[in-house]
Amino acid sequence: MKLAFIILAHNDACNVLRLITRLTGDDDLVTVHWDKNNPLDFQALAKRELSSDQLSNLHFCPRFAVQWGRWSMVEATLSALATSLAADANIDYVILLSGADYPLQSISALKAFLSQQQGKEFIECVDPEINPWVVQGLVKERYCQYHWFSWRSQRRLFDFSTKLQKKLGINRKLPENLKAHFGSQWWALTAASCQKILAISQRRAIRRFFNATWVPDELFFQTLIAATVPKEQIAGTGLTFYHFDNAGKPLVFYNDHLEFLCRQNYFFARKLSPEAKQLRKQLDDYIDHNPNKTKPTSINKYLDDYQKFSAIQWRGIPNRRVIGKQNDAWYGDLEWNTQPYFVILSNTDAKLNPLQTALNQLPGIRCFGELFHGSYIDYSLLGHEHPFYPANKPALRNMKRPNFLVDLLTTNSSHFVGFILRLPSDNEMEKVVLYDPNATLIFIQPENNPINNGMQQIDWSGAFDNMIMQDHMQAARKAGKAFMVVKTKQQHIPQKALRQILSQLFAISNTTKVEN
Amino acid sequence: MIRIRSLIPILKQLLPLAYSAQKYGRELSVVKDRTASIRRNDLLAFVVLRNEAVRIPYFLSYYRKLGVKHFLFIDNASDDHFMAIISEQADCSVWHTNASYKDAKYGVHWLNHLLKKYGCGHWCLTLDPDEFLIYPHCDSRTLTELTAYLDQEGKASFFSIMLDMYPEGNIDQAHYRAGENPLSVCPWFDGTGYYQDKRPNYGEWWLRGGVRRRAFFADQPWQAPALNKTVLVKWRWYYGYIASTHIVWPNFLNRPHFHDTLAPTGCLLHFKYLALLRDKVEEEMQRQQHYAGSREYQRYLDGLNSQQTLWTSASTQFRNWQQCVELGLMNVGRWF
Repeated sequence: MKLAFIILAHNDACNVLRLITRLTGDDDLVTVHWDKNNPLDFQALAKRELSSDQLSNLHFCPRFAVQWGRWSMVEATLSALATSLAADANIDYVILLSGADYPLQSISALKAFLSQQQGKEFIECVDPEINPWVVQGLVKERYCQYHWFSWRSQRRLFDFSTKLQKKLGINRKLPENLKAHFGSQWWALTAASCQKILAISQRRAIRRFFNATWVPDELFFQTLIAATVPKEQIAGTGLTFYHFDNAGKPLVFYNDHLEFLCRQNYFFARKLSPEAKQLRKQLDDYIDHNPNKTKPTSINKYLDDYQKFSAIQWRGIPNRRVIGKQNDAWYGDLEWNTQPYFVILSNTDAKLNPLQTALNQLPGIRCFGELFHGSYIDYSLLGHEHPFYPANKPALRNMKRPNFLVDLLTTNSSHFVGFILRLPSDNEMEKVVLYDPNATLIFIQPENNPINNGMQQIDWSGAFDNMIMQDHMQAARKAGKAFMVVKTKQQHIPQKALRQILSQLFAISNTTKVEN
Repeated sequence: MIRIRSLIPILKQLLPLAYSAQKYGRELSVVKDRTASIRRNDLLAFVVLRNEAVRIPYFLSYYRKLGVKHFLFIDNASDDHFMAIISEQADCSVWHTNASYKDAKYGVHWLNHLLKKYGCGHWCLTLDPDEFLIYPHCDSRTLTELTAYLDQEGKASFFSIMLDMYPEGNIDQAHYRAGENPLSVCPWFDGTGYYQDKRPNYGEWWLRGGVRRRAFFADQPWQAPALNKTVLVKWRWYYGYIASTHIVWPNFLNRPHFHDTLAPTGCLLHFKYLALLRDKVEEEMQRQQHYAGSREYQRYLDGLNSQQTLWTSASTQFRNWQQCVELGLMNVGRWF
C-alpha cells in the first residue's frame, strides 16, 4: 500500500521538518504546501536539512497565499493534491494533515488499518439539516450567502455583508443539485475519489460557487464526496483526532498531554503546540518502542478526562475559592467553605464555662470561646490559637470575620469546631451564622419569666434577651435551618440539658466524619 | 458618530499617562542597546532595579526557560556589579538613570516609556528582580504557550496574586547566593489569610493579606499593600501602568476573567524577605523614595530589629503550582 500525505503549513518550519521525517520512513509520498504569506524559503530549508532518501519522496506544490476561512485554503489543498497524484500513479490513499499535526500510530499500523477497510473514505460528512455539526455562529449562511470579506481582518465588512444579505433574502443554490455537507477539514480519501474531485473542481460553476462561500475547507470536499461516493463507503470520521471546545476553539496539546493523546484511537492528533518538543519525542518513543500497544481496529474518541475537566473548571472548582470572583462579599470565604461547625448562641450572662469544658472533653470536638467578641480574640483553648491571628491583634480578625472563621476551620479540619456567640453582639457574625448552611446552632434560651416573684419587679433585661433570641430563631426557621434550643431557668445550664446537648453534638460530629 | 463628550474621560486618563511617559522617559540614557534583535511576537521582560545584581543570574535563567526573548532593564543608579553581569548577556538591553525613583511615580513612568517604545504588539512582563511568575502547568508549558492561548481566547492580560515567601528562621539568617534558586532559602508562604474586594474606582480586584498583613500591618490591616498584580500584558501604545504593576490602564486589563467563564490566573512568588532586606531597608529609609513615606520599609526595619520570624506553624511549604490551585490561589480556568 502506498500513501500520499499532504501537509498544509504556514509557520513553524522546524516541526514541519520533523513531521516529514516521521512520514517518509516507509517510502510514502509527502507533498508540502508552504503558505505564500510566509516569506521563508521552505524548499531550500528542507533541501539543506533532510537526507536525499527523504527528499526523493518529498514534493512541493505551487504556493497560494492562504487566508483562513477563504477559498484559498481549498485551492492550496487542490494544488497539493494535483502534485501528489501526478508524482506517482500507484497511490492508494491521500491523507490531509497540517503542520501542527503529529502521528499517534506507526505508519505500518495505519497501512494495516487502511487495507482492512476496503477503500472507505475517511471524511466527516454531516448533513447540517440532520446534525448540527457547526457549534456556533453561521451555518447555512456559509454557503447560502456571498462571502467576499475576510472574517479575521475585515470583521466589520463581513458582519455588515451577512446582515445585509439576510435582509435582502439572498439564498444561493448549490450547483449541479449538490447537497451541502459539513465536516472537519482533515480527511483521508482514496486516490480514485481524489481524481474525481480534482476533475470536478475544474468545472467553472463549481469554482464560482465555492469561491464565495465561507470556510469552504469544511464544505467543499465533504459535499463532493457525499455526492460521488455511496453512503456505505463513507466512514464519517477522519483519521485525525481533534476537539473543539464549547466556544468553537480547537484544543491545543502540550507536553503534559501524552496520556490523553495515547488513549485516543486515532492515527494523527491535531493540534500540537509548536513548543511541545518533549511531547513529540515521547510520542515517537511510544510508537517505536512500545510493542504491547494495541493497534486500533476502529476509530474512537475518549473525552472523559476533558469532559470531567470542563465540567468543573469553566465556572470554578466547587467549594474552592476563585481568585477574582466573589458572589457574596458579605460572606467572604465562607462562600467556599464545606466544613461544618457549631455555634452556641446565648444571652450575655449565661454561664457557659461548664458546657465548654464538657464539650472539649469529647473526642473530635473543639469548642472555642467568644471568638468574635470584644477587643481581643478569646480562644479560651490553650495551644489552639491560630498563629496568623494573635489574641491581642483583633484588627486582623475584624478586617473580615468570616475569613478568620474559615482560616480557623481549615487549621482544625480534623475536629468539629464550635464557638460561643453572645447575643446581642456587635458584629455581623450573628447574622452570618443564621444563614450559613454549615453552621449547627444551639440556642441557650432563658425561660420566659419576666416577673421576678420575690421583688414583684419586671426583669427587663431578661425579657429583652428573650426577645432577641426569639428573633434569631425566627430567622433561622425562615432560612430553613435546623437548630436546638435549651431552655434554662437559672444562669447555669441544668445537667439534663447539658447531657442532651452533648449527646446530640456527639452524634452530629460522628455523622460529619462519616460524610467526610 | 463618536460623541466627543464620551472621549473626554478617556483623554483625561490617556494624556497625563502619555505626557509623563514622554517627560520621564527623557531621564533614561541608553547604556546597552540590543533591541535590534527583538523579533515579531517575542516575549519581553521590563525590569526597574537598584543594587539587585545578586538576584540577576537566577532571574535571567528562570525567565529564559519560560520563553522570554529579551530583557529591558532600567538601572536606577546601581553601584554594585550589575553592569559587569549584564554586559555579557546578548539578550539584555540597559538604560541608566540617576533621577528620582519617587518622582517617576516609583518607576512607572520610565516603564511606560519603554513599554510604549519597544513593547507594542508584544506580550510584556513587567517585573521586579525578586518576582517569579508561576501559572497553571508552568512545569510543562512555556509562557509563550500561555500567551498563545490567551491570544486565541482574545484576552490581553494575565492576572496574578503576589505570594510573599519567607524563610523558616530569622530573616537576617537567610543568606542568598547569586545563581541560587531563592525557593531553597525561602520555601514558606501563607496558604490562607487572603482577602479580596472589588475596588470601586478602577473596577479591578483588590487583594490583600498574607504575611505582610499579619506581620507588618497587624494593627492597621486595611493599610496592607495590595497583592493583585497584572504583570503580563499584550501591550498597545495607549496602555499604561498607573500604580506599580497593581493597576494598568485601561481598566479591562485588570479583570481576572472572561465575561462569562474563568480564565487562568497565576501567582507571583515574591522573595523579599531575605538577609538582603536589611541593607535594602536601611538604604531606602535614607533615600525616602518609596510609597507613603516608605512606611512599609519602616515596619520592615522594626520587624528586623525585634528579631521577628515570619514562620509560624500554620505556614505552608511551597511545592508546585498544583498546590496553589488546591489552596484556591490560582485558577486553571478552561485551559485544558
